[in-house]
Amino acid sequence: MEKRRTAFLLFAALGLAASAAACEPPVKGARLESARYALAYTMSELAVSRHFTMDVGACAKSGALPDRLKVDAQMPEHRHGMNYRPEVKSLGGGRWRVEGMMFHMPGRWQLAFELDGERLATDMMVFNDDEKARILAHGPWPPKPRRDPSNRVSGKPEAIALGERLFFEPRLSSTGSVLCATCHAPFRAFQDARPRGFGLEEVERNTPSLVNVGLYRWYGWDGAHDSLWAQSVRPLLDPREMRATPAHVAGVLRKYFPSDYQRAFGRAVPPDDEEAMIDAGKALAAYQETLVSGRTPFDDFRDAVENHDAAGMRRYPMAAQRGLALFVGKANCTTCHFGPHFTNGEFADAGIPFFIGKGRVDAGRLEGIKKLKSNPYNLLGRFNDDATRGSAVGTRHVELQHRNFGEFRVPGLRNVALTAPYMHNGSLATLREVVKHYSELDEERLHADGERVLRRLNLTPRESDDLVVFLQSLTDSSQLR
Amino acid sequence: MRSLLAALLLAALPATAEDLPIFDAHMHYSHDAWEAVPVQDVLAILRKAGVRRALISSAGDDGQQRLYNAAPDLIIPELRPYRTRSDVGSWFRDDSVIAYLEERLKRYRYAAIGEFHLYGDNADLPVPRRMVELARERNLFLHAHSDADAIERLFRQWPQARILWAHAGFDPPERVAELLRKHRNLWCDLAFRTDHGAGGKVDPAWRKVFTEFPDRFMVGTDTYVPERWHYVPEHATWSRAWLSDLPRDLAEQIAWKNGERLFSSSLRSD
Repeated sequence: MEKRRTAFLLFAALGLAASAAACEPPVKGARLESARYALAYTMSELAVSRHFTMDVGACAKSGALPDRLKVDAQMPEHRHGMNYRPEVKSLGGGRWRVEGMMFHMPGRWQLAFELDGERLATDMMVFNDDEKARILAHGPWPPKPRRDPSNRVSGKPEAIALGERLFFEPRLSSTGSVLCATCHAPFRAFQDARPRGFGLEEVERNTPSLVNVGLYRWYGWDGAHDSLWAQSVRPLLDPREMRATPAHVAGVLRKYFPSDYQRAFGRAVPPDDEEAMIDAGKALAAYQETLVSGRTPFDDFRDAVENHDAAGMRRYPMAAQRGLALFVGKANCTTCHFGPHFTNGEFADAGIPFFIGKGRVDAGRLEGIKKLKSNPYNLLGRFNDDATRGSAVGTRHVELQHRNFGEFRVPGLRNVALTAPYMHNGSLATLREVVKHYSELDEERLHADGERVLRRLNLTPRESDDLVVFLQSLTDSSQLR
Repeated sequence: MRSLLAALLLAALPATAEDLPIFDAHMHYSHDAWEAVPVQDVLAILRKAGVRRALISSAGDDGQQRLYNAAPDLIIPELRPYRTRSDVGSWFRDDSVIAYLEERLKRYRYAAIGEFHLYGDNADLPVPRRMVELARERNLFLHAHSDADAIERLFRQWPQARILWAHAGFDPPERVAELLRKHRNLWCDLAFRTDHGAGGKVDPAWRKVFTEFPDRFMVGTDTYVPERWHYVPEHATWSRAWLSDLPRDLAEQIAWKNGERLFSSSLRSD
């Protein structure tokens, strides 16, 4: 049996490696090749425990069309096949309709065709309805552009242009030596590849990427800010980062950017330094909102699942599919890394120690909420341009809880392969280390109350590899080229 | 008459933040904390926070013994059935836990066995049953992180048991009150929950329960990871804030008098 399986896999591998240009099957769909034949198939909607049909077309690279087609499927890990024998009806001209197929379990299936005794096979992951819903919830991508109602220049081209100039402007720092891009370097996915950020001095936390930053609800690892513009002001004023003052920032606007400001805001730089500084933050935010990652191999797969596009699904590597199955299934990653941005936008204790020196801790979200509530630039304050204050609902209702101590923001995972090192303090150097962290999770660090979302995953080496491959498939395809 | 009036007035006054000592009924000092937060640091934190006495257990048990040796006036040790915290999900099926408990009980003095995690019919497994017997033999409290079902089962095993219900089971106040009415020997700690006193205001439903059972509640910080020791002062401040929304005598009972009454003499009586 094992010998037969090995031969089967070897045959499949040879089939995949053969030339694709020899002939064109009369069905457009997922394509397989063997030495003599090329085959393509489409499937009706594929769901666990539901019968489906397939349309199959084949052509011969040389010689006569194949006469007979057999179809079968098995689950290699489970060592069993389907519970039904499919019926293959010839439609003539190298075309067949296959009825009575059913994959009665989720997981990896091996779909095998036999054309006049020559076998062609492919692996495919079959997801149950729950897994499929979770996968589809990670898209579509890219998201529709949206304006921040708290920022009156959000989406305005002139403000975006000003914001971009300010982003690369070292004179915004009091020393004239640090710019936003010092830590958020465009060529490093808008982060700095360091464990902890370093403006004028080193800080305690990892520099997050700014790609897709406009999609967050809370800003910073502790969520101390509720808008991108307020968050953009923070490093300007932080003595360890750019060490500026409202007067300094306002002065830079007045001296170097009066026309840009006029175009962006439709008025001269105001005399109130604080107001001018907040406007600088709003222009910076308008620019950062444009930093949206492109489509990824995962997005193509996700859309193929939605469209029942077998060919599209097959293009996504099997290791990534297995990793995805873990991500939405056994590993339960989607509970926190949810939706198109792969984050629920909230905070969690991921079991990472948060001492920052002897007798000092980074209290994370706990301090973040306290800072948020006392921040004059929060969305409840006078600088929110949203007269309805609908944008401030989270700020109004967020509650300080004991569990917030040591919680940090759940980051989005798009382009995650480009943003090492990881976690709030940059303590994990590679994606493989992150997967290892969750696989060998120190459950002693987690509180046992209520539903325990996090559990030690105890992944096998192959499962760890698969999860890493899946995470890598969240990389913007333009970055992969 | 005048003194009675004064007493009534005093009782109705809110407790102030500064003058309210804390009996912390839910602390841990497990092996991973010993280096990061040494004994003297722990004691300094407790004193800074105004913690008058603390009921402390450790996975690996040596932790609270170190603390107790250094400050017997401050520390009340309880015995946790865990060698490491990874025993949390398996101890109730692990026969070797009994030998561990017996050995520790022979060597040291404790006020309670706990905090242990035990849910539903697991409470009736042989290991928890034997643990209850050990507590009964020594008249120790049980400190149970449990659902109501397990609490009921523990009382069926030992109707005279004195149980401190950790986090009051994370149950809503009405359910907690139901069990308190049924069991006179049930007390509650409020560790790691916020619902009763968010924003310094006592929730109305909880207020009813506190008023009905003024002698059954205690506060607790739950230092389940080393970092959390540095949260103790803030937690004490947080507790004083919501306690100040209660009449003074009720606040004092919950803040420290209940714990003091129940536990402070438990070691001396040995």
